[in-house]
Amino acid sequence: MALKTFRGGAHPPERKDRSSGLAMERLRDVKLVVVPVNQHFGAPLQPLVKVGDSVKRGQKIADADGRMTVPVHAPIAGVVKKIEPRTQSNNLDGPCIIIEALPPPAEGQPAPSAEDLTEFMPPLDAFACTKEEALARVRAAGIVGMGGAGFPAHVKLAPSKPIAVVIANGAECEPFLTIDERTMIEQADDVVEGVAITMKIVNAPEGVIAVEENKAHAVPLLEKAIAASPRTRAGMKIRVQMLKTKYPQGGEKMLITAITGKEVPSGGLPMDVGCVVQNIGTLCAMVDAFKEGKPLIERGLTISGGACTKPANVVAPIGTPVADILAAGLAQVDEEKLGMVIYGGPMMGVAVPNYQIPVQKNTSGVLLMDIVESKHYEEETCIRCGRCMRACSCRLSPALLAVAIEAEDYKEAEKIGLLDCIECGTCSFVCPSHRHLVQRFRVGKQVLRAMKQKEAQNAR
Amino acid sequence: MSVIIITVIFAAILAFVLGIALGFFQKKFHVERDPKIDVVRAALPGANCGGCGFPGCDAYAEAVAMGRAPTNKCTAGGAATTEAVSKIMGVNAAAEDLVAVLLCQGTKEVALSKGEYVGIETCRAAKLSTGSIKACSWGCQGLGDCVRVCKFDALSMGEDGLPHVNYDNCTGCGMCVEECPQKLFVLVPKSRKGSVVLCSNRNVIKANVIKTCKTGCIKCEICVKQCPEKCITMVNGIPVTDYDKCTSCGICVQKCPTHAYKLLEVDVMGEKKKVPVLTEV
Repeated sequence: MALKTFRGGAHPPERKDRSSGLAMERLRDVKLVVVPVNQHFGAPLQPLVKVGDSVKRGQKIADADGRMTVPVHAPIAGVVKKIEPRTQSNNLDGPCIIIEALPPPAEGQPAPSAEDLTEFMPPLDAFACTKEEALARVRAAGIVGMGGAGFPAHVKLAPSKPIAVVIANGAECEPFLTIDERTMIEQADDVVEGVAITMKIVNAPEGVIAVEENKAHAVPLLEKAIAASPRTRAGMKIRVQMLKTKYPQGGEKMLITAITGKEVPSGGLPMDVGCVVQNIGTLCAMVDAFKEGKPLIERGLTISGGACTKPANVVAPIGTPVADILAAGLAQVDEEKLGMVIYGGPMMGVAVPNYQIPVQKNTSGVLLMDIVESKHYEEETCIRCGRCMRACSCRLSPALLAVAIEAEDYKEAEKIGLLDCIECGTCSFVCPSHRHLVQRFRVGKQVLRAMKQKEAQNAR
Repeated sequence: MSVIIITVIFAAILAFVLGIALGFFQKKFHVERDPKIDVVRAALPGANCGGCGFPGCDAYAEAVAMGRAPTNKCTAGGAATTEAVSKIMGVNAAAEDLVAVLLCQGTKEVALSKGEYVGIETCRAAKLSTGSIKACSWGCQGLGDCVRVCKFDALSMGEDGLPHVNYDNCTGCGMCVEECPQKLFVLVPKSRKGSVVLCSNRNVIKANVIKTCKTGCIKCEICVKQCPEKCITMVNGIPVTDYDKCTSCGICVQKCPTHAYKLLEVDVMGEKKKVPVLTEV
């Protein structure tokens, strides 16, 4: 099988060996969850419950009208203790619904049955229902892109242009993270089914499961699942495509370039080149939403890093403070060595002050980095070596962009492609002067957006 | 010698011809310009600070002369300039000297940090990546974006990690108000007397405020209850003084358990705070 890839990129140390052989473990008997109300990329939600309400597992607890909104559901059955602002995994304070699990029943009392405590939607056959019904189900299940961005899945699945290829993103190019790999190995059938459902919804003739070369051992399992799937027997075309191991191979645009050879136009979306890209976790969540009617109330994540003495792949309810996962003994941390906590991957994730912050819909991993791994280097001046330009996965010129932003010439930065930057962090990673390039671009984008807003207001 | 004479004669003829041509073209391509623009421009201080929202004094003068801008926008020039410009334009405008006040007392000692921040040393970048460097999401980031934009040398970074306003130099141009990503500066009339709460923490949970900052407003509302003039109300989680009624009695300042309340004329603008100033920001 020929290995496909994109131009540019880098090879950060993979460090996946620490957790890639570990089966996913389910966290049970969660006592308390802190569910952020806003876990998607879009308009804010309103809580639907009050303090003191008892909620069932899977009950909708926050929602709002609007195209770019996705409801949030109760991950455990219990009582709403508080609704207050807490720090979320993006370091900002946001409203959170705090649910405490029901206490164990007293002696002699029968334990409430699982059905009494659960409120799932009725199952729905994705292949028999209409497209509208299917999209409504995806939204009602609260599904967002679980790779990190948290983009509402029902918006992605309603493209305004014809789709030729559905790509399942199993590249998982971030170092340390192994949760997608484990999902592909342990739930290969679900992955294939998820691709088939997506293909049905967007009416695409082809499905591709993209896997990086370092996860080659998952390929036979996926191929077996494809061969056994009733969907492929019914004529659906799904195949596995092996890709070169390189960061950021799992970036949506890079993945499309590698597989189809087409480039997503500047300012465009994958649908402009006839593609829909879905994360492996998202696909499995969709399968659950249709088969069991189960909303997105739990997700898999990798806990790893140098200070993590016992790494793990965990399936935990959304909202579980990561400290509770550690307390349950599924993973262990050496506090002495702990230098930094990162939610997400090491390249694009967010460094947070502690690991009390809950698991969110888009938390693909929690990294407990040791002191050596979290070492910072002094920022020095650009030596014009051009490494960032060679490495940039979007074929931009990070050095020039940084100069433009430092000179506060945001119009120039926009002209040379600031808004096309996907903030993958490759340029900062390869920079021998340890320049904070991505941070500059993020500031630049923010200022540019504010400027445009102001201009639009003035024009009115 | 003759070369010099020829050159002088030639240059004189050339200058004469070009002078006629220039005079002709000046008449021919004359652009009508409102003489008011120049008069207004002359009344402006010429600092080109941008505080009025226009790119420099020329642009503002033109906007005023064309009637596109109010006459009181030049904060750098203050009341005197506003009066002069209003007189030229023949309008009445309320003129008041403004100054900027920082609504945060979260110095390094009293406000807890979230963690060590390593990155671009600007408040905007720090806020974008960390939410807030301090445990308080509303607090001053202390990296001096305001100091860098101040054109009048009125702001300096103190060793305590907060910017300090020099009220002799502050013209109330509003550049710092605009720049601060936490929106911690407000413009108040220089003559204002009364109490003000130097805190912007809008977290409604008392415990969360106490955890993050020793001088934060803990929403106890003692000030509201104790004010003899009943001029303090809670607005959006922060007590706000009604300056029409405030008599500067100082009861709120004494009663405030975290010393978040201060008197503008005494604690903020009056006393020259002796804070060692960092030379570089």
